[in-house]
Amino acid sequence: MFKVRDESSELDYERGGELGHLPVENFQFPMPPMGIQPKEFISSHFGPAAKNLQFRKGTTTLAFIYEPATPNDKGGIIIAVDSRASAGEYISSKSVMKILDIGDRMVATMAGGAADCQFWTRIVAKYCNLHELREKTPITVSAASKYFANVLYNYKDHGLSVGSMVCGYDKKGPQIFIVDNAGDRSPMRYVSVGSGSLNAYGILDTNYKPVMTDEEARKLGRRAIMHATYRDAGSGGVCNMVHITADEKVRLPPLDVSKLWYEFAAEVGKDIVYEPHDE
Amino acid sequence: MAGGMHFLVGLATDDFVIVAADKANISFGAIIATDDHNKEFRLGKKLTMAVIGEQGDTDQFGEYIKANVSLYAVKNGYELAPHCAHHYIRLLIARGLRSRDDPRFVVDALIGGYDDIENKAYLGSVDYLGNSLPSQKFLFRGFSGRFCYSIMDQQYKPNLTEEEAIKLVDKCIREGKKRFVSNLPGYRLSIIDKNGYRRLPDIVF
Repeated sequence: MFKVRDESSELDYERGGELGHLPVENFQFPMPPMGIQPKEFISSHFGPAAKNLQFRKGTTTLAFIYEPATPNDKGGIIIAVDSRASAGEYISSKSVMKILDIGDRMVATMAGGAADCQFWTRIVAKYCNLHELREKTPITVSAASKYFANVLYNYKDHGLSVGSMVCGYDKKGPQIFIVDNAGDRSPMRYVSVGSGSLNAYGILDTNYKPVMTDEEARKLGRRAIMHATYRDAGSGGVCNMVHITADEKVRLPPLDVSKLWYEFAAEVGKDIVYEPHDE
Repeated sequence: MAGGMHFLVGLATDDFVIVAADKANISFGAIIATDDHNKEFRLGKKLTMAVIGEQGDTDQFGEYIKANVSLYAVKNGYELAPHCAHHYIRLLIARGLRSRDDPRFVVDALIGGYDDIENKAYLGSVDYLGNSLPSQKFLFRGFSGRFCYSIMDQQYKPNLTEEEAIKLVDKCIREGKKRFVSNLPGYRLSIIDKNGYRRLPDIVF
């Protein structure tokens, strides 16, 4: 006959009893999130008070849609961005590519936390690729940005920092959606995101026209970024630009914004040479 | 109030209900991101809802409600009556406040509709704490409303014609424009009566 015996009271724990009979009353495996609250974790490690680590941010990005002015022009979307990454007051990189590919005809721009933008943009890109394989048709900008916004809405108030413009050409034509970590998502004709966006808006609001030549449009994009980098401490480096048209996506070569400043000054005939003199 | 600087106006007589919503999309509490943002969600042939709050919340909330009210109509073959929809919307917010898993929406909403059974227009509101005000003659959501209740108290009549009502709504919106600090770029108006839903010309300044 099988006998059940309780030896627990007979064991001498101080000398270490048999391993199989150790008391297991208050034992707990640590389970995620192991006492870490994402929001507090981020603000204490990367927030303004954190001494050594700060999020990489400080940006000017803009994008706009325009119609071609002449048959020689292609129209479409211009996406222009600066290239500075700052960690607190330290410029951690002068050559960041803030226009990230999502698909053949779609890009997302990067403003806010560099890590969050790069990671989540890749997740969106993966979703878009899978969508295209499954449905045998390219995903629309609207659907891609909605997926992005839903992901960010799910992580709302968890400390993510993302401000992205999802831009691309699909069956409905050129489209821009702005998406951010609060879960916002809005369609836009022209838009700017980042710490330098206020400066860029100043240029866009005064100079943007719905119909432009390609030359005008590219110049406007560069000009807005240049003026933003001139006034905003968080922006600088080079101006990267992508032009998406009905049939292609063109990555234009990076241009040094400090050179652009002299170029534009010469264009408007402004004398910007500093001449110190005694009073 | 969840609406921040936004402004919603609702006015109802027995025959019709007018719902007006500002068209601003404000980011960082300081920048007009767009001046043609639609805050209105059509919930049925004679039912509409205007929502203000943070855009992430308002969009998710509005689309969720819209989908579920539409689903109800498909399932049952008839649409929710305005006061039923109102009750459902309040319940969703109240449940969200008391549950760990359900989403918590920080939004204020106006619900306007025409009840075909009682043959009466309906206006109600829900706020983010789950307070609901059913069957009201006029309602405001957003700070600017504080200037306007007195105007409505003074000038509202139950037998207002459509033109008079539009004029009265316009008066309130202009008072908000005059006294409130934020520059709201324009308003989207719609009206529901026994014949159904119609857009009215936008109010722009």
